[in-house]
Amino acid sequence: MTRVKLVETPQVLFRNRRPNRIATLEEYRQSGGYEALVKVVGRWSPAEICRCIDESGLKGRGGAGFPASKKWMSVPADGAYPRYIAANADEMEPGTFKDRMLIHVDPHAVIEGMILAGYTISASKGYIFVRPSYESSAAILEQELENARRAGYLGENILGTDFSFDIVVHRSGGRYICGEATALLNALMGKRPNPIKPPPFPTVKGLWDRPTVVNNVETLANVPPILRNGPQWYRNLAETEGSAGTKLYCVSGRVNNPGCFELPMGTRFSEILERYAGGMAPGYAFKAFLPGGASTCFLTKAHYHVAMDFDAVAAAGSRLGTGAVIVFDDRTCLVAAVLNLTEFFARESCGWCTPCREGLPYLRDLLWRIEHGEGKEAFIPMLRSMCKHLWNAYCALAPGAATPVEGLLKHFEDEVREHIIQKRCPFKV
Amino acid sequence: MATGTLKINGQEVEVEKGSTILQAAEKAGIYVPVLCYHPLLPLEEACRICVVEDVRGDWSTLVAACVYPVRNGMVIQTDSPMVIEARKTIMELLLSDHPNDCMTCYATGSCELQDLAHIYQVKSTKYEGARHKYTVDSDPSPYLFIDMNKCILCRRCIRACHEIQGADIWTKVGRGFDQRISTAFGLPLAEAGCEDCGHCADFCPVDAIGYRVGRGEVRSWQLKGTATICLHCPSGCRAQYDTLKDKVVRVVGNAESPSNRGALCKAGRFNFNFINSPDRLRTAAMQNAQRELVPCSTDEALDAAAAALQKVRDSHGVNSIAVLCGSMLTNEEYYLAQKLARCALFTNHVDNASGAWQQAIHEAMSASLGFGAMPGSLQDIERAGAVLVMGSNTIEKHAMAAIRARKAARGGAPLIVVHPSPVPMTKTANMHLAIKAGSESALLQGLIKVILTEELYDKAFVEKCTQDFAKLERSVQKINLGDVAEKTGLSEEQIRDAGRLYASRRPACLVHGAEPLDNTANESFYRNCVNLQLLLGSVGVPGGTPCLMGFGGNGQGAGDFGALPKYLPGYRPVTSSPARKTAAKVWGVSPPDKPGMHCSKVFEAIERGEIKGLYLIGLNPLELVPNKKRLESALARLDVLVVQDCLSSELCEAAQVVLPAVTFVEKRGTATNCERRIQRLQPVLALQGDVRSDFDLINGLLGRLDGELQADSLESAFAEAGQLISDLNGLSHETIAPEGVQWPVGDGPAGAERIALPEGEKSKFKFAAVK
Ligand SMILES: Cc1cc2nc3c(=O)[nH]c(=O)nc-3n(C[C@H](O)[C@H](O)[C@H](O)COP(=O)(O)O)c2cc1C
Ligand code: SF4
Ligand code: SF4
Ligand code: SF4
Ligand code: SF4
Ligand code: FES
Repeated sequence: MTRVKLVETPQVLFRNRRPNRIATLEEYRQSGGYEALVKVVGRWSPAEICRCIDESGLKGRGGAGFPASKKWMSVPADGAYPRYIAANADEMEPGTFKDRMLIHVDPHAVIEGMILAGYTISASKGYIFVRPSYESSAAILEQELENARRAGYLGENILGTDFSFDIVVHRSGGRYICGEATALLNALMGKRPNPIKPPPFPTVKGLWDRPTVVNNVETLANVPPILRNGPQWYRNLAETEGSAGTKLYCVSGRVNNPGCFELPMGTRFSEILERYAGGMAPGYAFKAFLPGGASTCFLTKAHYHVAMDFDAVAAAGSRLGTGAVIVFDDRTCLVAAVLNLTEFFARESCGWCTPCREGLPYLRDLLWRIEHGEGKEAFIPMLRSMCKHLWNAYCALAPGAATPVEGLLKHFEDEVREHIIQKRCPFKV
Repeated sequence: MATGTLKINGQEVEVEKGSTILQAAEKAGIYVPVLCYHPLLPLEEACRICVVEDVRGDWSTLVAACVYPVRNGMVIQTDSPMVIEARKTIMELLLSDHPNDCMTCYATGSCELQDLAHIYQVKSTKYEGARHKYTVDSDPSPYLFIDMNKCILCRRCIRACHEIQGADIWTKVGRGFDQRISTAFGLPLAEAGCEDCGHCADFCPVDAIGYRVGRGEVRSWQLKGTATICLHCPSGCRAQYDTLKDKVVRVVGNAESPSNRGALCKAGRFNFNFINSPDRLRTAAMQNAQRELVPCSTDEALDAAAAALQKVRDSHGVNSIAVLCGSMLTNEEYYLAQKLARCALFTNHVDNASGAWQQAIHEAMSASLGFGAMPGSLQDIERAGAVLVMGSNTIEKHAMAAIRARKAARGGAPLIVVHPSPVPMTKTANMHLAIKAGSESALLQGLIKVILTEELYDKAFVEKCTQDFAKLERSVQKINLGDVAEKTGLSEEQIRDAGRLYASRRPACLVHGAEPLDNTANESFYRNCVNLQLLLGSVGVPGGTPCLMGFGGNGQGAGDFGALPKYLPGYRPVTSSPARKTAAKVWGVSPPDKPGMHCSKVFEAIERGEIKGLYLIGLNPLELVPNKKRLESALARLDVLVVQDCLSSELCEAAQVVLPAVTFVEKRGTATNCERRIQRLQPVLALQGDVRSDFDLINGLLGRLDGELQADSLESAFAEAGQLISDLNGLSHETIAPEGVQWPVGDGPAGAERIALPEGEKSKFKFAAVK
C-alpha cells in the first residue's frame, strides 16, 4: 500500500493524490483541470502564453532548470511544420521517481500541459517518452489519452477550434542516455540514441528536422495551473524569493518516511528531511546528501539548512537537478555508494566520445580498487584529473557522472584516504 | 563574403564566417591533431583529441576544433597546458585499451594513433585498465584484415562506407565501453553486402580495418607512393600506388582529382595483380623459320614486325591490315597507333575496344547537342534531383557514377535502377526495373511516351533550348506502351510509374555504362537518352546531364585522339576532304578516305580472309567476343599477327611477333575520362627487362615504316595531336594540373564542366525521332 504523507503546504500537481488511486478525468476536471485549455485555446496567442509562463518563472524540471518559456520561444516563427512536443518521462536518473508518481497521481495534468505546449508552438503531435519499466504508467497514459480524446480535449479540432493535436505514448528502449533530449529524439526516430550536439537546437531542428520542444513531464504539468491562476499566484507558491511554484522532491535513503513530496520551491533541506521524510531512521545519523539525483554534487552538514531551489543549491556548490534527494547516513560508505553510481554511468554511457567511453571505466576501476583495499594514494589525484577531463565530453552524461566523484573528493577525501591507509573499506566489519 | 577575425596562439587569422577553428588553424599554419575528423567525411566529434582552449576573458573552456565555429574576436590557444593535458589524457585512455602492438603492426609508421602518441609522448601503460579481446583477423574477406582490438572508435569506417560508397556495411553496436564496430548482426562482410571498395580500410587511422595484401611483408616506410590515373574504367580515378621495389603492394585513394575525390572501386583498388604477375611479358619474341616462337631483342622484334606488316600491306593491299587497341592506352599512344595505321599502313582499320560505343556516343551527342561527348560532369550526378541508372552493373563497372547516384538518392533524389538482375545498386533504389536483357532502348521509348503524353516535361526548357520537338512527338505517336511492356517484360503501369518518378524532380541525370558484350547501346539509343534528358530540361545544367559512358578506361581519349575507323583526331571525318587535307598538312601524308571497320567487323573480315594482318596493341580480342573458339581459329588464319601486350596470353602462341609492353601504371602520358577530363599519368614503377611503353613500341614501328612519321617525344606527339584537336586549345602536358582539365579547354585552367545552353536559334539542341 502506498503511504500518503500529510503535507500541509499547497498541493498543485498532487492536489488529486489519493492512496492507490489514479485521478479520473472527472476528478481532474473538478479540481480545475482543462480550465486552462478552455481559457486559452483559440483565445490566447502563443506570445501571450509565453509571456505568462515567462512571468511565472517556471524552470525545467528535467535536470537543467532551463526556463520553459525561453525554450518555447526559441522555436523560430518561420519554422517548418509539422512541429512536435516530446514529453520526457524516461526518468532513469538514479533516485528520481517523481515523474512516475505524477503520472500515477494525475495523468491529465501531464496531458493538458502537453496540449497547451503544443498549442503554444503550433505543434500537431506529441510523444510521451516513457521508461519501459514504467509499463503501468504507459498504460495509464494511453487509457487517459483516449478519455481526453473522447472528451474533445485531444485530437482533431480541439474544443471546436481549428487546433488539432494528438499524443502518442512511446516506450523507451530503456537506457539512461535515452532521457537526454537529443538522444531521445534519435530514439523516437528509430535511430541509435546517441546525443546530437546542438546547434541546431531541437527547437529549430528536432524530430525529422522539424521544430521540437522536449520538456520534462513535471515541467509540463505546471503549465495548466499557471495559465489558470496566473503567474503571480505561481510565484507566490515558492518559499524563497526569486524562485517559483512547487517542486516534487523525491527523498530516498535511510530515512523514516521516504517518498515523493510536493513542497514549495525552496523548502529547506532540513525541513524536507525532518518534517516530511520523518528524519533519519533509528540508529542512523545524517552524513550527506545528493540534492538532485545521482549526477549532482554531495552536500553535507554544512548545507543542512540549504533552501532547495535552483539558485540556493547552486550557490552551495551543487545543483537542484531533478529534485531527487538521496540521503546518506553515517554507516554508509560513500566510496561504495559512488562506485555504485559510477558503475551505473559507465554502463549507461552511449560510447560516442572517448572521454566518457574510456574515462568512466577508468574511474570505476580506480574506485573499485580503493573500495576493495587495493587503493593507492596516487589514485586520488588520478581520480581528480580524470573527473576534470570528463567535463570535456560530447554530452552532459559524462560531466554528470564525474560530479558525485568530485563531490566525494571535495567533501570526503579523508574517507577515501582511510580506505587506502587501512587497505580495506572501514565500513565493512 | 563575410569574414571574421580571431587570434590563434596570438596570431591574427581572418577566415570566412562559419569556418571551424580547425580550418582557421590550418589557414594560419598551426597544427591541431585530429583522429575522428577527416576532410572528406562528415563531422563526428567523437575522439576529442582536437580540443583547443577558447579563452573568454578570465575564464576559458575546451572546445573541439574540428566542429567548433569561429566567433569574431575569438581567442584560441592550441597548445596551452590545459589543452596538452586533455590531449594526453585522451591518448592515455585510447592506449589503455589498445594492443600497442606497433612492432609487428602493419600500420606502424603510417598510424595516426602512433604518431599522436609520439607527438604527445604518451606511453602506453600509465594506467592498466580494462581491455577488449576480440578475434584477430575476424573476417574471411580476401581483401580486408579486421582486428577490432586496435579500433579507436573514430567511426571513420562507418562514415566512409556510408558517405563515399553508400553501402552502409559497418555500424556501431553496444554501448559505452563495449561499443564496437560491426556489420549488421556480426555477419561476415561478404554476407553483409560489402562491395569490396576498401574505403573503410583507406580511412581507418589505425590498423583495425586494414588491407590483407602486403601484411607481414612490408612496412610503411619501405613503400613509395606515386599517384597516377587508374584506367580500369572510364571514371579516370586518381589513385596512389604504394610500391616496394618492382611490385605494387597496394592502391589507396587520392583526393586530388574531382573525378573520384579519394574514392576507388574494387577493381581500381584490388585488381593490380596483373602488374606483379609472373605472366608479364619481359622479353620480345618472334617466330623463326620453323614457326617456333623464340626470344629476341625488342629491336629485332620491331624490325620483324615492321617487315611483316609491310609485306602484307604490299602484297594484299592497303586494307588488308587492321590495328586494334585495348582500352588502357594513353592518348599519345592512341594517336600514334592511328597515325601508324593511316600514314604507314594506309588504312582506316584502326579501332579501340570500346570504339563502337564511343563513336556512337560521339555521333549521337553531336547530332543532338552539337557537342560530341558527355555534356556534363560526373559531379552532376550527385546534385541531380532524380537519377536513372542503366546498363552495366554500375557499382562494379562504372563505380564513380554509381556512388554519386547513391549520394543523390541519400539526399532524397528518386533513384531508378534498370537492370535485368538485382545488382548492388538496386538495394538503394526507389525502383528497380528488371527488364529483359537488351530492351533498354524500348524502355527509353516508353518513358519518353509517358512523359510526353502526361505532359510531365519541362515546357519552358523545350521551348527555349530545343528544336524538332514536333519530330519527336510525331514519332512517339507510333509507340504503344503495350509493345514496350511486351519487349521489356514490365507492366505498362511500371513504365508509367517509372516515367512519373523520373520526371518528378528535375534536373535529372541518366547514367548509362556500356558493357563489352552488349551492343544495344547504339547511336539511336544514345539519341533517345538525350531526348529524354532534353524533355526534362536536364542537359547543360548543374545536376542534369546524360552521363553516357563506354567501358574502356581511356575510350574517350581513344576517340578524341583518332583511334576510330571513321574519324581522324578531333573527330575529323576521314570521308571529308578538308579534314584529310588538314591532317596531311600536319602529317605530311594524306590519310585514306575510306572509313575503316570497328573491332567486331574486323573479326568478321578476318574470318572471311579479307584481313590478313593484325596488329594488336594491349588488346585481347578473345575477351570481346561471345564465341572465343571461332575467333581463335580465324586468328590462326592470319598471315601476320603482331601481339603487343604486357601480359602473355594464348594469343602469343599464334603471333609472328610478340612485343613486350607495360601496364598503364608504368607509363607517362595523358588519358581522358568520360567527362572529358584530361589527366596525366605518372609511372609508379621502373621498367624491367627489355620492355617498352606502347608509345615507344609504336613509335619504333613508325620509325621503321616511315622515319618521317616518328614522334620526337610524348610531349611533341601530344602537341602534334593538338594541332588537329581544336578542343585542346593548345594544351600542353605542363599546363595540366593534378585535378586535370576538361575539354573544350578555354582560357581557364579547369576547362569546361558542362556545355553552355544554346543562345541562337540555330544552336538549339535537337530532338530526334525515336527509333
Ligand atoms: C544523460 C542524461 C539523461 C537525462 N535523462 C532525463 C530524463 O530521464 N528525464 C528528463 O526529463 N530529462 C532528462 N535529461 C535532461 C534532458 O536532456 C532535457 O534537458 C530535459 O528533458 C528538458 O526538459 P525541461 O526543460 O522540462 O527540464 C537528461 C539529461 C542527460 C544529460
Ligand atoms: S558523454 Fe559521450 S559517450 Fe557519454 S553519453 Fe554523452 S556522448 Fe555518449
Ligand atoms: S594500430 Fe597503430 S598504435 Fe596500434 S599497434 Fe598498430 S601501429 Fe601501433
Ligand atoms: S575500425 Fe578504424 S575507422 Fe573504424 S572506428 Fe575503428 S579505428 Fe575508426
Ligand atoms: S569495403 Fe567498402 S563496402 Fe565493404 S565495408 Fe568497407 S567501405 Fe563498406
Ligand atoms: S578530431 Fe575533433 S573530435 Fe575527433
